[in-house]
Amino acid sequence: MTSALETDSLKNRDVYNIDALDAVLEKTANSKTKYFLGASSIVTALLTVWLALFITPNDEHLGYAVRLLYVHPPVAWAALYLAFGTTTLASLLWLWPKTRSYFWDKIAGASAEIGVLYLALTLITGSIWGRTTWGVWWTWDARLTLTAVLLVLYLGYLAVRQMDGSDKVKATRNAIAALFAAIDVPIVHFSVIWWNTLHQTASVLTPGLHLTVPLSMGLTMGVGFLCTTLVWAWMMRVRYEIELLKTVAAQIGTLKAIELRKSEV
Amino acid sequence: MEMETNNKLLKRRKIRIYIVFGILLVVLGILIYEGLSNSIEYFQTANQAVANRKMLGTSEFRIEGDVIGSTIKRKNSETLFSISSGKTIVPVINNGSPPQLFQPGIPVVLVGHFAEGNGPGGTSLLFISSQIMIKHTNQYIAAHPNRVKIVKT
Repeated sequence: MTSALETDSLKNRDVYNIDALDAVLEKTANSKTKYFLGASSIVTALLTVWLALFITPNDEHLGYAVRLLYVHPPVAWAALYLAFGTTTLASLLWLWPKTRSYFWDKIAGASAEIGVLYLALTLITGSIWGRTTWGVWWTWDARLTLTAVLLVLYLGYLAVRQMDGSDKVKATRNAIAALFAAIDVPIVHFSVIWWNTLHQTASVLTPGLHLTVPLSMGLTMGVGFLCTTLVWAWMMRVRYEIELLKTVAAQIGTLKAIELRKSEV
Repeated sequence: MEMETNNKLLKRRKIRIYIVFGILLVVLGILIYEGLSNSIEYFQTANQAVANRKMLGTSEFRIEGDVIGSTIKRKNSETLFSISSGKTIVPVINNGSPPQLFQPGIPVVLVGHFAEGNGPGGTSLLFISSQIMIKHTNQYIAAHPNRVKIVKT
């Protein structure tokens, strides 16, 4: 199963060679990319906290609660557009014969996992903000209902990924399920325009991209989005490493089994 | 022997996935039901509601409008005020205290129904509200800490 994984590190290499596997393990353990992403995630998170709590002003109506602006939209953008966008793109790259590689299937799955985490955070932070602003934790308006539907659809996608089958059948099934779930993303985006909702319309991703927030607030939202993006990239890198280690572990298992068999003869 | 336990594990895994799918389908069903019965027409603006007054009768729905500042009055546990949209004004009586951000000029969504009985136009336009929700717009304005607060007395 795991041998289907095609990665740059393992491709075109004799994987049944213990030295080659050692080299992969060493390279992974000392990955500079991973530490860079981790460190910059923490730095931007701290920067967001500092800008959000100490630099930006209160809002005239919302008061102090306006600071949820630097958490809720960045988490929602990262879930809908970055994470689920990557899943959709990677699924298309699997389905397109010229770019077909199991690498894309793994990327699609990893990004959807992070997307589901972010979307759950979107609903939680939104609920807290709703209680302080609207006065209710939840209401059945189109934006909220469709976002909950989106969470169920992507949980369904992750469940589809657990179904049995040959590697090729699984990857194709996953990709089709991903495209099906992705239909709801633009519907969530435009829900505040298409229907009467309690949820407000966009403040940044407006038609024409006219900010409806003061610049300092908009920039802090930007730093917040940079943070959620870096955390996504960091988690993607770690997830990739896990897949790589799984492959290596399987190869080592095979090598040991071969050696055991040889000693028996 | 080993094959058998392997098959058992596979079967158990399969059953578990179908249980997950079952739960997700039930949740999806509930969400779609709530969406169809609430989200499509989440609220009617005050002037839409007044235009549909006869059809609405005394059934429950959500109404939207801006709070007219000069009309806010508190009486025991009730809050009285009027909302407007366009040129239409709807008087409101709300049971219980409104949420923190309730203030003059703010758009609100109210859950409730029109009162029974006859008003000036044949049917009463008084809206009996059981819940006030504040509808925040997408506009954010920096508060100036040094600005003198206007205290209305």
